[in-house]
Amino acid sequence: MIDLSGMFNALVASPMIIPAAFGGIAWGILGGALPGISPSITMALLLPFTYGADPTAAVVLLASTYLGAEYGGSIPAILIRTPGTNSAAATVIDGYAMKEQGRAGEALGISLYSTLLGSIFGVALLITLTQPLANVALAFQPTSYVGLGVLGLSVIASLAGESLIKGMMAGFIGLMIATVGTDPVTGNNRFTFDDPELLSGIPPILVMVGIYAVAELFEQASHPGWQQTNTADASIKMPDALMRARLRVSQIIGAGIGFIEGLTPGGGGTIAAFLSYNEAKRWSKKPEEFGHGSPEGIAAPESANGAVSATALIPMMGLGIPGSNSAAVLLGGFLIHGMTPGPMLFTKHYDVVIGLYAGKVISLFALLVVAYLILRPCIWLVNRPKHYLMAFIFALVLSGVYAIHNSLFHVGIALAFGVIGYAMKYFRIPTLPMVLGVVLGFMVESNYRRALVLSDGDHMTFTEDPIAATLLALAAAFILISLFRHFRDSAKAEQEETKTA
Amino acid sequence: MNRHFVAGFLGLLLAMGYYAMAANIQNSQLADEVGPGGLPKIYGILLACFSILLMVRARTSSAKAGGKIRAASEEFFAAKRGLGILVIGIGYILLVPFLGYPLSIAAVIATASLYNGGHISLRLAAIAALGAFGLWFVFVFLLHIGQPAGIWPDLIEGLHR
Repeated sequence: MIDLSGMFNALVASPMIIPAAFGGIAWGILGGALPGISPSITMALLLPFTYGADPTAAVVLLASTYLGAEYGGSIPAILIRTPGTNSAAATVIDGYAMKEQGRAGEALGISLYSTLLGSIFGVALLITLTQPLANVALAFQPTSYVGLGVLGLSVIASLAGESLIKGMMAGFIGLMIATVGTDPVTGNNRFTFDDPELLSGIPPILVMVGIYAVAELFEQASHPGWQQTNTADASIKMPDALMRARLRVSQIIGAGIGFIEGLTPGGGGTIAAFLSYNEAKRWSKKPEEFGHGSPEGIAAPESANGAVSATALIPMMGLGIPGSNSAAVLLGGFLIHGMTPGPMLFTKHYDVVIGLYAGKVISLFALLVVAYLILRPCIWLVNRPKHYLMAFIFALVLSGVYAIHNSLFHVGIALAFGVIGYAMKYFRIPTLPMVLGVVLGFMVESNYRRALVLSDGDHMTFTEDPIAATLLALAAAFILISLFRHFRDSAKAEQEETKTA
Repeated sequence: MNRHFVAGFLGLLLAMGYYAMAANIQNSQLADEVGPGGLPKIYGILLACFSILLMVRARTSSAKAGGKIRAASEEFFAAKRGLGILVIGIGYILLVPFLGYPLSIAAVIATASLYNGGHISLRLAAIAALGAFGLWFVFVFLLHIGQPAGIWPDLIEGLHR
């Protein structure tokens, strides 16, 4: 049941939601339009600013940034053949082809219209599905939280990318980071090196800013600048009725796939965009146009991106399990304000949840308005010399991290995690498992030990609680399926290698 | 040695160091059955196991990837360049308590621009100054978030006396 009056009341109680939604969309579009700056980095750059803000406005700002960045990524994809975000890579194919045919405005219009429709669908599902999911979790006890945490950590198996071993290593490094600070049961200091600033542990926000934003700045410093172009004549041209009818099937495909991928840990926008591009081509009446400027080739991936930006929040808010980098950063936004996403979020901070829903609805209007207003500044920004932009972003990161706790020590920690993130990129170790470990580590350890204290050390307590037992069984199934897929893919790759040899 | 082997080796070093520290955590009288060092020791052991697995896999597959190793070493030299930004960040941490926020952040913008391929020019100086002013305006003036003031308040107070 959609609580419309609650959403309206949230807007009245927290009027900053509206500017936060507009601001987030604007910031997201600008960040998404800059090649190399992904939605999660755009959001991570904002995290320090949300620290002193109203909690509802803060999470709305971050969630709107996510949506704005997903759309913003398509602007350089269409105009300069460089996707601003990974998930806009599929849009390059037909978007740039349309630009070459002098139809850049039409391509930008299709992208905006499709992102908007996809996100309307996604927001509707977010509002209707998240609370029922969280209601199930209201009966949770410490044992159930352990099951939930282990289920969250089992996601690592599917996030590991090309190497399961490296994914597991990253996950354990994340769990190790989560053990820094005061022990949750005995109060002993662990891994603090007698430094009082480490007593409360390493805040996840510093890990995220470090491995996403700082590491990306290191990466950008080792690469040449991006392509620039004269696109002064570009303006958004929304599709007419005939075109809207043509796009319908591809948008339904995109939104549907986006919904599923948003819910799936490790799915995210990139996979959704390419899957929906492929399916839209299969179902299209004009498949031969794909790759040569097909409007459906833009509509499908962009509606998928729009849907993902909302549905990725369902497992994050309902269960506290972030399935993508951007959802992890948004989770960081909740944590900064002392709110733990998961079942208790809906009882303890229902005002924030309903405010976030209202903000997501406002952000849909904001996207439509801001996209028109910001296109020219966006093109101007992409055409600025990269060295000035990167230098300014670095200064913003240093200032923002200091602002969180007025601590230069924290600036040092963020830089250190920048080095770790950069090294992980070099060694091709996925970073999201590490973030999952950092975010879930404390919850798993504290509840595991509390459960054992309550049961006098009897490990059977985890099988006696039906919720914990189900979640642990699901985690085991998840790991086994991921392992099976991993070994099957490795065997296939080896077979192909021997064939080519 | 390829990069996977090095990653495994570094992981193993980390695991060993972490385990040694976990083993030395004092157990209090309030300790539960697992204790404050219980899970950390398990994490250390598991990280070590996965690191060794990665090293073994890297050794067995390194013979097939001779060309890739050269590419990896070239990539390593390119990657080193990125760490210049780290040096600028460390310089900021060291300087900001003395120079204060506006001057230090302007220096960060100028040096990071130069390092990323910019040239010394009036434009660079203007952008650094404007950028620093913009950030000061947003953080200190608008959001009332304190940033390091440096030695200037004490110096000015001393001059007034």
